[in-house]
Amino acid sequence: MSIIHLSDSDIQEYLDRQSNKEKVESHILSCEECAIAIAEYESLYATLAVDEAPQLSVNFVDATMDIVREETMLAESNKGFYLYSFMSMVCAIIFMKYYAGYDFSAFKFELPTMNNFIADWTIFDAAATLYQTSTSTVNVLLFAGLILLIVALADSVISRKAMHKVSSFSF
Amino acid sequence: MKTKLDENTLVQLVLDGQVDEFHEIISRYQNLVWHLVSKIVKSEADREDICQDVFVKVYKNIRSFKFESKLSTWIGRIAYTSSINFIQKKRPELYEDIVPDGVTLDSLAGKEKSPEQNVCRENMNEILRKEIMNLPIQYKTIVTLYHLDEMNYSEIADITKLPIGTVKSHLFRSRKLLKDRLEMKYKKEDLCQ
Repeated sequence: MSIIHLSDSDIQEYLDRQSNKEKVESHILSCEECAIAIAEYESLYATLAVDEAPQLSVNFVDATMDIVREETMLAESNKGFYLYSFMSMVCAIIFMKYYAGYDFSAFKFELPTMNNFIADWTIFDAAATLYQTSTSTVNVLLFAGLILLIVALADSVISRKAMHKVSSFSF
Repeated sequence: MKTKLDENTLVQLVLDGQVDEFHEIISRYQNLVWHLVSKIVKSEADREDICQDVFVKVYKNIRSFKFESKLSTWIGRIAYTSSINFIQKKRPELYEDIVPDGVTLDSLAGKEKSPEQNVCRENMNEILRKEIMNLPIQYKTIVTLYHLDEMNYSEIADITKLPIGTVKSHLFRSRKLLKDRLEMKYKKEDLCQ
């Protein structure tokens, strides 16, 4: 009479979760081949649970924390930059409204149509009005503000890029 | 003596601005991240950089952690995705290591290429480590997470985004494959002696 041996799945189920414990254990009492197969799997399991591969460097945690702290500082400085920009904008609007007497009701923004791109884009009219009605001081302030904004944005982008040399992954 | 905080408390402290608590998160999960990255990325020079990048991503995205899954599973998912993205972008040919549908165990067993003369000098652990590295990416990831990081099928499924049944069948196949390869090696070793 031929013996039906345990399959690899039966053995792994037994070793993983003790499935069919009684059936497997009674079978291996009379089947040396399956007993050897189980012993081989047990040996494999034991070896798999040991990690002998090279590990991370000793200072990995500290080095990573340095990057994390830099990230935090950068985020904080960005927060300050956004807050500063917002406050500057509010001050500029107040100054333009109450000191230079600029009429903001002329400042309308509408999406341009393809047929009449520039003519329909009333922001250009508003800019022209501003240039004509405001004093030269306002123009100089606006120009300086614009330059500062561009420099600050460029600086922010450059420092971010420098900080992430390994930025080739996306998540 | 400092008591060990649970992972949700740690995350909450980091969210509250206590950046130094992130040190503990890195310490706890660096092995998990290393196991995943080192099994997927073959280039040793890039592995540690990727591990660092994983933790920076964890820190930057920690607000999106919903406390619904375990932190280890969430970090494992980021490590797995980052590693796969890396090999897709840097070494597209390695991405073929991911098991395509319908691949049989026999066809994988046929990939054996190690030189016969080296076999006699290797001990079982060394042979096994090399054999694991020769497995397809999904297989070695699952074996590592199950045996080394002691994760269950469900947690592995969360990390790899594979169905639980697939995780189980990949795990069984890879162990059978490793056992067969080890047997083959030891037979060769017997012949050498």
